[in-house]
Amino acid sequence: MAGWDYIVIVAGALLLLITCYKEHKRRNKKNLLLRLTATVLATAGVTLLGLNINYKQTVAAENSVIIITAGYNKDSVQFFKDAANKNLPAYTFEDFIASGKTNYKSVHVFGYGLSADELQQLHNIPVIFHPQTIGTGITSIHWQQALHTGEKLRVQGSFNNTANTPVKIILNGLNTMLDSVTIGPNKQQPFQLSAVPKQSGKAVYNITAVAGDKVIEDELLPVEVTAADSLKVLILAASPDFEDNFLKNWLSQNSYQVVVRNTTSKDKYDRSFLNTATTNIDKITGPTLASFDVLITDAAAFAALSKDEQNSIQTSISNGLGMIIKADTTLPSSSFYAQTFPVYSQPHKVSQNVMLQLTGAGALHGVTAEQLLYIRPQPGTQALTTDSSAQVLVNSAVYGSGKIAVTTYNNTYSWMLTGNKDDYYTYWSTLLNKVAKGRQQTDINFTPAVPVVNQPLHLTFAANNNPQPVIGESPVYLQQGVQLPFEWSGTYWPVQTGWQTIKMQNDSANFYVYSADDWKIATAVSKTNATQQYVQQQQFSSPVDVLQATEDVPVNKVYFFILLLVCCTYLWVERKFNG
Amino acid sequence: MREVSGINIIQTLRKKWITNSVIAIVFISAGCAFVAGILLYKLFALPPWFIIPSFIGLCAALLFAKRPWQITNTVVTSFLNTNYSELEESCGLLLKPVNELNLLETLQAERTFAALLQITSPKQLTRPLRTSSITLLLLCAVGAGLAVVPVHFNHSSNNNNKSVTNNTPTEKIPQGIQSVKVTIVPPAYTKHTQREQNQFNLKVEEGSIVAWEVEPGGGQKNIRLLFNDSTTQQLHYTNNQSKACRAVKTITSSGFYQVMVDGKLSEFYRIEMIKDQPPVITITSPKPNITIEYGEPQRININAVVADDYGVKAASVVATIASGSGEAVKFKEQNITFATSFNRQLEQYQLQKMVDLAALGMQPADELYFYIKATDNNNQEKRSDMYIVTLADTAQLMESDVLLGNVKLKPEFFRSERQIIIETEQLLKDKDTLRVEDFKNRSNNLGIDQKLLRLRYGKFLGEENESNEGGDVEAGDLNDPKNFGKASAILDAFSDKHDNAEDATFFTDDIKQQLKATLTEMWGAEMRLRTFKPQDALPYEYKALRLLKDLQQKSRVYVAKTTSKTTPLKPEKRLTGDLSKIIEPQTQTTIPQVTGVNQTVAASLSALEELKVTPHITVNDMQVLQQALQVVSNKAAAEPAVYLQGLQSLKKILETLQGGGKASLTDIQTAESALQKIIAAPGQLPQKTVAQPYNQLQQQYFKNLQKANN
Repeated sequence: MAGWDYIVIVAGALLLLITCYKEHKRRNKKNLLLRLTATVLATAGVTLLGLNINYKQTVAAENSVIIITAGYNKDSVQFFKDAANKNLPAYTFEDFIASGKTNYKSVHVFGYGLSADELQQLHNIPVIFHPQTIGTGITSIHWQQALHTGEKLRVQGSFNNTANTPVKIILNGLNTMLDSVTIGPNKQQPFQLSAVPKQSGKAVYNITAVAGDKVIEDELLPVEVTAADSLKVLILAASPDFEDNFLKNWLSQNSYQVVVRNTTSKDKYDRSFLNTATTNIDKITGPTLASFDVLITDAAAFAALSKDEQNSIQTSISNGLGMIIKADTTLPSSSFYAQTFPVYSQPHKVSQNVMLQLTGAGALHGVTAEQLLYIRPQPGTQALTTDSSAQVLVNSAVYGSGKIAVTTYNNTYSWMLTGNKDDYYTYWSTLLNKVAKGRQQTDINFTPAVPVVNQPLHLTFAANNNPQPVIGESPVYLQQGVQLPFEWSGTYWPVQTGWQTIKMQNDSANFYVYSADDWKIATAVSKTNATQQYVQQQQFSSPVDVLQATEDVPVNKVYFFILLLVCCTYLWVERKFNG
Repeated sequence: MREVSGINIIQTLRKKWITNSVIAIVFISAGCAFVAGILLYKLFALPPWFIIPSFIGLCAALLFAKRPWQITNTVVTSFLNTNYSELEESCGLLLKPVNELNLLETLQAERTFAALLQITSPKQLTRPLRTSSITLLLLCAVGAGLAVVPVHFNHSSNNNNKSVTNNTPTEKIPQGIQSVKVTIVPPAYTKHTQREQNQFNLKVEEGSIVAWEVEPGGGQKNIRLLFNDSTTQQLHYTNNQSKACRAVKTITSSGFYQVMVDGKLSEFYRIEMIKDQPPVITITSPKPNITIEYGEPQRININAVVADDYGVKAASVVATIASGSGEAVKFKEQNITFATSFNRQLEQYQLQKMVDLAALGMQPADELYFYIKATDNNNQEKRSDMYIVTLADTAQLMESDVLLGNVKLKPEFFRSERQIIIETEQLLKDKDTLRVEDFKNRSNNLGIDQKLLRLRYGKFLGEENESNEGGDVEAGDLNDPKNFGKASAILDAFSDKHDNAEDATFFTDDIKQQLKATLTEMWGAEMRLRTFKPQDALPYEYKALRLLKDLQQKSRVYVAKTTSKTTPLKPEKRLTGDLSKIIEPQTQTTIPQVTGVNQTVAASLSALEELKVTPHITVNDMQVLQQALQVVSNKAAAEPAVYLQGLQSLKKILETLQGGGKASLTDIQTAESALQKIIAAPGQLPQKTVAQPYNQLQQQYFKNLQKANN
């Protein structure tokens, strides 16, 4: 269009030059100024006739429109139309956006509502929401998609049962029922299902809600099991004991790298290196510790270390090393951690059945032991194990970017001896996981958490450098965060359902893309919430700018024509009288 | 005119009666049919129109039973006569023709007619109508109630049956085989008879002989059976003309097999073997370890139940008597048979045997060890646990410890119980020569002695002194002028001194327990002595003595004499702290990782999951599935009922993949459920938690946090 405009303008300018020259050359110089003015105006009129000129005009907004979304009730829409006594147009969201007409005073949204992405496209048009009540189904869900071998899959969510019959929720995996729970009639209730996945690799589990013989909802739960990241553990012991021995055996049998240094006499050690090459560990230095993830020691062994060694341990911990200290007596007050973990003894206690509660893992089998020492919890510490009377046996704290755990429970090998091996594994896994140095990995955040095919998926990466992700064949281009330079965000539109792999520079990750039919009720709940939030927010923001929408109105060309006519008439008449 | 109307009235009444009865029958049968129909629908799922035939049937039955059409005018008149006295028993006259009536009858008939006119509708005639309509309403309510109650007994059970049959799919007869007859001859010990079946899947007893008789149809074919232990069995034709071929095999283990017809393999068929269980012996009495006290009857009653899955052939008690002590212990073994005959070889026998220990030649201090040995009809032998019976040794108790005279640790009152026993035995010996009063006196005196002894021991437990009981104030002490104004004396007299705390804390808990037990025995002895039954008192006395002896032993410590040779000390090296000769051991071990069954199966599970989506498979996954097939195959040999279907599916999947096709979802699912049954869930392992890459901001944060904490 711009080309045409230029052509017209250039042609107009040429015409102006020619006509002005012609006027100027006329012998009779009478009325020259007036004639020139008339010529200029006439040329302008001709030119303007050839151009499309618009002007901006504020347009009065039309009244309102109805947008119908999933789950809407036909009758309530009709009822609303009848009550409003106007024939309001009703669109689906896609049609509404496609119509391109978005200046309305208000939008009535019927059904479950719109997603945050869709609401953004409304450009602050006030929304009046007529939400539909949520039907029977899973309203919210969470599970760990990526697990390590042996980790328990915990599926938590809530179920809304509007029917008069109880509903059974079943977790199925590998064509086997793993767990189930029953939700009573007319109840909105949270539920939890759990199982330890047996496969190694990717699998799609199912969660099914069944009422009687009827399947109400059947959803997919993708689960990926990867091998556990191996740890490198250093054990410094003042004397050999069962605890260290059992721990060493268990870890080394699972290919973990373990180095044990037992004191046999003054400055004499018994060293064993399991699954790792021998190194010099006579003197504990920062570089020695740098290769380890966890240091397990006892109070006596720690106290026996030189001041330099203690300092280098302290520095290493603040740089990320994890430390577990086994306290068999009250801790020496000189040590740097003693203040955080005050240990007190409880006398007059004979052998008793110690029932342990592991934070986040539930109760363990009781062990008969002489438990005399407990840790008094301090601000900034997190108890990992308590006994049945809530006295703390294992406590932990953050120290710099590392973590310290202190345990007064030195009888864990009894679990192995009594055959409760799973308790032993759970206990030590919890402790080691808590303190071990973390594996630095690009962290990916998906919004929405349940990616849906043909809908935008916002990816946020936490990485120091641009991870340059590639999904399938298509790269995703990222924007660096302004405030947080290590945050990279981008959008990807999944084109197919199922497992997808994100390949990054040094990493890769898998995620699962659902079809639009999955998680209907949960999606409905999130959409309802998003729409309600939008409605609440707009109550605070003024809708004035919306009402003053402008429109491009083309200028009526008759005016230019009249101008041309008047000018030409003058020139003609003037010529007749003066020519 | 009058007579006609008289008959008319009666006939009207008759008609009314008949109609009412018929309507009542219709009502009742309709109600019953409604309820019955609903019950039939609910219980047997019969269609609802079954109400109509049942209604018709009930109606016909009731009509036939009641026969309302048999109500004649005579019946009506007799009914009227009995119910209405004003008719003066003369209703029958109205039925007679007028011309047959004599004068008197005519007069009476007229009176009766007048009375009859007063009677319009007798209530008795409408009563069945009312009762039946009420019954109909009630039955309708019951029926409606039943219809509303959501019970579908038969429907659900039908569904269950269906699902069960779905789980065990009907087997396919391999192509090229017309029919099969499998003859199973169970071994003799099972007492089962020979049976035949037309299926290849087998469930047979251990050691059964199985004969396959296969008719291929359409000429002779080469048929072989391939077993899971890679043995094959050729089916032979008796001659060239015979239609069927045969093979025989003895089944000694579970497994599966395939049928090969002219080189074509069939699906897998399972062989489930029912193993013969050894007999189960349950001994209800005596207890595993008992001691027979002196004076108690020297016999034990053995009660036991011996059971087997097919039959018990024999059972007996094997008893060993151990006599003597120290190095002179002698053993004597005896086989004691039960009186029960095992000829019938029943599945269960209730056995009982009274063993007289004296008859076995057991002396005090001897011990009897016994167990029950049972044999089933497959000659499998089983022994019960060992049971021990001890005869208490009284002789040792009575031994005086004079020999250990130099160790005077025991207080003198420990001898009294023995004294009481000796005197009791003496009293029993003298019983025949004594007068009754003397005997009773002596027995009573012994009881008093026993009481005194008990009180003395009671003191150790801090028990109250009996003299304090009853609350009698002993004024004697108070009257003594010496005690004037002495507060303690008054307190002593009037206060009730309970358990003395000092006394009570002398002994540890278990000693106190045993003392208490001793006192209980002494109470028992005293009671019997005081009731002149010294013979009965003896066991109690012995028990008390034994417990006291044990108490004595407990407070002693034995130290064995040993000689020791210590290495000579090197005085020049002592306390120098020289550690130069001490070596520091250093070991380096690498524990090799073996890929076990668990890893293979876990990997194959995710390979199968992958196959659900895509028909392509990587070479690695293919290898994993091949290995998994081996694992399942081994499992299926042991438990064909559980794993055979999975094996078949996995094999089918592999064949499809090799052919380049897409495995069916049902096969994948069946294989998955079989595979996941093989492995247990892996145990938890520690691992690194995932952390965001370190950046300046985090470092600053942790640094400041550390500062804030310290």
